[in-house]
Amino acid sequence: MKKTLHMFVALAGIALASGLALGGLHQVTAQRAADNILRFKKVPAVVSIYQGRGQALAADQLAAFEDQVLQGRRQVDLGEESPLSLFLIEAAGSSPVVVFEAFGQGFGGDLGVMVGFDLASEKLAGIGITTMSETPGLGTRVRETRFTKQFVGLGQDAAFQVKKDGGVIDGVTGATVSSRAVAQAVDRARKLFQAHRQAIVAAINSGQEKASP
Amino acid sequence: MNHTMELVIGAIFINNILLAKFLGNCPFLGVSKKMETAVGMAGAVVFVLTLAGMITWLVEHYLLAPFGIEYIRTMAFILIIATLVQFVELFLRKSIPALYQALGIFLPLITTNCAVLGVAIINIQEGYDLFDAIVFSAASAAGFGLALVLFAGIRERFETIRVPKQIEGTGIGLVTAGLLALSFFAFKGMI
Amino acid sequence: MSASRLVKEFSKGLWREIPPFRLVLGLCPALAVTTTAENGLGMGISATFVLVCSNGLISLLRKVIPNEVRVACYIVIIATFVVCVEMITKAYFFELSESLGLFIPLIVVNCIILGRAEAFAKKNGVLLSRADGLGMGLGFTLALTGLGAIREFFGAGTLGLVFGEQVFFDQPFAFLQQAPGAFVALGLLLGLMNLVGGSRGR
Repeated sequence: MKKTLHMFVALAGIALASGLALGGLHQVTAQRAADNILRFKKVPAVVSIYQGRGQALAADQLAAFEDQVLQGRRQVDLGEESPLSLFLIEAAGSSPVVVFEAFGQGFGGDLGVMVGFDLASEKLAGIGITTMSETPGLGTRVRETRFTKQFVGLGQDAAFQVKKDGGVIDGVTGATVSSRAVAQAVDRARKLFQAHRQAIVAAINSGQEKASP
Repeated sequence: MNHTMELVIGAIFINNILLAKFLGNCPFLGVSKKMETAVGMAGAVVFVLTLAGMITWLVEHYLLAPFGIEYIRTMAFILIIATLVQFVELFLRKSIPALYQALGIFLPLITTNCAVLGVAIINIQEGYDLFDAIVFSAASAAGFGLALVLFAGIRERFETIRVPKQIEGTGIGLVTAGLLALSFFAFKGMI
Repeated sequence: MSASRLVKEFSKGLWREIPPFRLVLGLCPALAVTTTAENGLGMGISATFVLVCSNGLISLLRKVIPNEVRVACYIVIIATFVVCVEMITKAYFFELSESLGLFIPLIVVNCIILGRAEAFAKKNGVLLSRADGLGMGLGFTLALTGLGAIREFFGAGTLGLVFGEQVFFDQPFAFLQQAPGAFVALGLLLGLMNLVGGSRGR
């Protein structure tokens, strides 16, 4: 009996101490870890949209710009599974751009695309690929500017499909599925934007409140 | 259906868990000297991995995620696997002694087989649903078994050939595994 | 406990029992993450951290932990430190955590760590156990960094850890970067170690 008690107390004590330690560490690191995912995976795509609009960005300005994008993000609840993160690009001399992520069904799973809309003209301001697991050397070529720049300046009513499917996008040779996935993601983003335009604009205008994690 | 086939073929041949993802190499080199032990280990892994894949998926989605404590996933999964292995051992010994005779001694080794924990984590990271997770776990285990049995078949021949003394045993085993992995490369174009 | 004993326990991990060559344990990370020297070093340091901490704590608690449930206790302790490493790399070394990926949580089933707990820490004092863990960990780090350097230099033509972006060959032997190359490189390196070790009359 005493032995069983000893076993139980030892195990429970170790588990309790471990739980407390991990919970504490989680409190300290969780926010930073979440920021890292945004900074290293999402923000670079936003930066590429910004650069695609002809805005030069020197290497030493990059970090500051990334911080600005990260700090300026908003969240809007559109009744989906989780709230949508909105990023804002503001540059002198051009109208603000709202950027958010949408997904398409790629060759190796979901393909994530950051899609930017010009808030004044509502035209597409550009796209940037965030996550993909496409075939190296083929599907991954949808990352190239040659492909992504086709989307810049397209209007809300453009046919976001590859030419094979009757749209306006030149697919990457040998990577039809991946090209289709990008077009699909952009199309989904367009539909989301059209359906929730007011909520998105309201969230963007909601001042400098910091988005909750 | 097509998707399921892709998952199965991908897990067995293209991204073979042993030869392409490097999970479970310790038992791979440890128990592959004899065909009998290799078959026994392969059987035990298929059994435990499929079961573990299913249970860890359920725990992740009904226990960890609702409470927002996914960060202790590693801890939770390894404890589940360790407990599961104990239960399977007890169960087999009591109810199916014949199977226990065949697999028994390999069961304790499975707790520290990183293929089991690895596949459980991959299931979650890839966002599989329950059915896909079970299929992927079973197919990965089958891939493990296939590679292990093939490798044991090759390795039995080392008994009779002369190998430079410096690379006897593990050294030549690793080089052979490399060649086997190379031959699995031929499947890359399949999907 | 003399200082020489401490040195002996520390130094055995660096050559005489260096994992994964002499003690054939911890092969999975040794093969999987050694595409570059940098990844090898990162993995080695992570594993060393876990090994030193868990060896120390297990040795400290060795009189409290009941023998019947000791393996369960060891696993909880080791997993705690592994989860710590996971959280710390995600927050402060994001790129490393991306390139090591799955293999950080898998430190928990690295046989070296549970092996040292069972073979050493449960019978020896805290300081000795730490020295043993540190030695084994550093040996493992050395081996992984070396293997990573070989595979990176010949397989990709770079050595990012030392030379940054500099490229040495235009057409490297890319086989070494792939999965089969990992097995062959480790196997041959093991042979080389035996060759050198053998001539010293082991």
